[in-house]
Amino acid sequence: MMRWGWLALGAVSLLYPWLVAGTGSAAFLQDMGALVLLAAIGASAWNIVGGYAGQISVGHAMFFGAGAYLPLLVFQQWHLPPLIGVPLGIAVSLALALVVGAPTFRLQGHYFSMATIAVAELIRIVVSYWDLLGAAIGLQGPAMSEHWWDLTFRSAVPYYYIFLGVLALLLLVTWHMQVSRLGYYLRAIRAGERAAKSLGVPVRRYKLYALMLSATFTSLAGSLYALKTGFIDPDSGLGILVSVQLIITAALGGAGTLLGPLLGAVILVPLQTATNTWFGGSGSGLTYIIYGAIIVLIARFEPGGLLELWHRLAPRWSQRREDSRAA
Amino acid sequence: MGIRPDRMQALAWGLSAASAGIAGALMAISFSFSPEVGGTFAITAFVVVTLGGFGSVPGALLAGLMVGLIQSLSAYYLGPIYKDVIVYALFVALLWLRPQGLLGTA
Repeated sequence: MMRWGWLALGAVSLLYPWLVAGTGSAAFLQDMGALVLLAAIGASAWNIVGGYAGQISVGHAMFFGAGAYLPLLVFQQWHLPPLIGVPLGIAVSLALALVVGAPTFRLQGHYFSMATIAVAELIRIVVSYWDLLGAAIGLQGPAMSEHWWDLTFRSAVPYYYIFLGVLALLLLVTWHMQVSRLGYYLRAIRAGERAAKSLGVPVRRYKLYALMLSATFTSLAGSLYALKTGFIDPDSGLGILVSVQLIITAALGGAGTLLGPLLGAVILVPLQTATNTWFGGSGSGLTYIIYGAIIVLIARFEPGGLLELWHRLAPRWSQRREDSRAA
Repeated sequence: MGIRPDRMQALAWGLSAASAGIAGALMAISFSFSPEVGGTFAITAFVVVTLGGFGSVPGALLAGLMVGLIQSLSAYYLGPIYKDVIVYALFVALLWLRPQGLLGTA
């Protein structure tokens, strides 16, 4: 049963661009598919440290921004292929993860969350005034593709498959982590830091590992975003709403579960596109009102996210079906 | 012991919100403000409390004065954009060096 579910999921995601190709708005739906995958990558990356390890980062925009800025920076300032900036972005993100994580992971409570906000805001302000990084205007990517490694395509389909590959890799890494020592340690830390420490879990070191793994993939998500959009500015790359979006996507589906962030992305991205389409530019703030409502509703009624709700309700339904069959 | 935690938490939350409201009203006299200005002040407030030490009233007072001075001086000598940057950097440095704060005990 489980295996069929995975096969179906894989088949649908592989065939999606073809399935919608016949419809009237193929390009629009393919683009949205790519955006869903991108949101899923970001949210799954956040999920490693925010979900599994239970360390709520509200500053993941700094990793996303580092990943987004460096490819466009090496292109615009030094005329190098943007791809060279991808590993550079990851390197910067890992350094930032150390700066934030090393002091705060000694402490418990809200220090980590607050430090992530503070550092992300610090970086956003500095970048907004830094001419090399385009200041408030931002940076642009290649307008026309000269080589395939510019990764600049007109259609969304190549991006879709690149994103799908990265997401598959990330889910594989997360799944592997889940069943490995790292995953058990992280869940122990989330359940109770003192208890974990007393049982000999090197709490600080493993929280740092989780943050670095998470930062790597968040940076990658940022690079993919910048390559697809071809443009980055302080708000779209480093704004606090970038961090909030990652958190909400993961929390809506189910933080600390493998497929929760993907589920959250499948729901939220079309919702966001719909509100933007229905209400136009004047409704762009509506997305964040909806985000706020979602946060309140999840926190109050379903802290485990939709996947947990499903796991609780599904057995009850199948039970009812069996009952009615027996009667 | 007869203490009702939910009521005490609600009371603390209400008092905190009320005093933040008073602070906002006072700030509006001398600062420019926009709908997004709250976040900056909230982070600054957290930095102040961390610097003073959680749960320490004299610490919060002392740290509030210090952070205010640091903000004004860095705005004057380095330029207004560095006002918040310096405070955030101070916060991270503080977490390295003295996470319990100036007058904190833990």
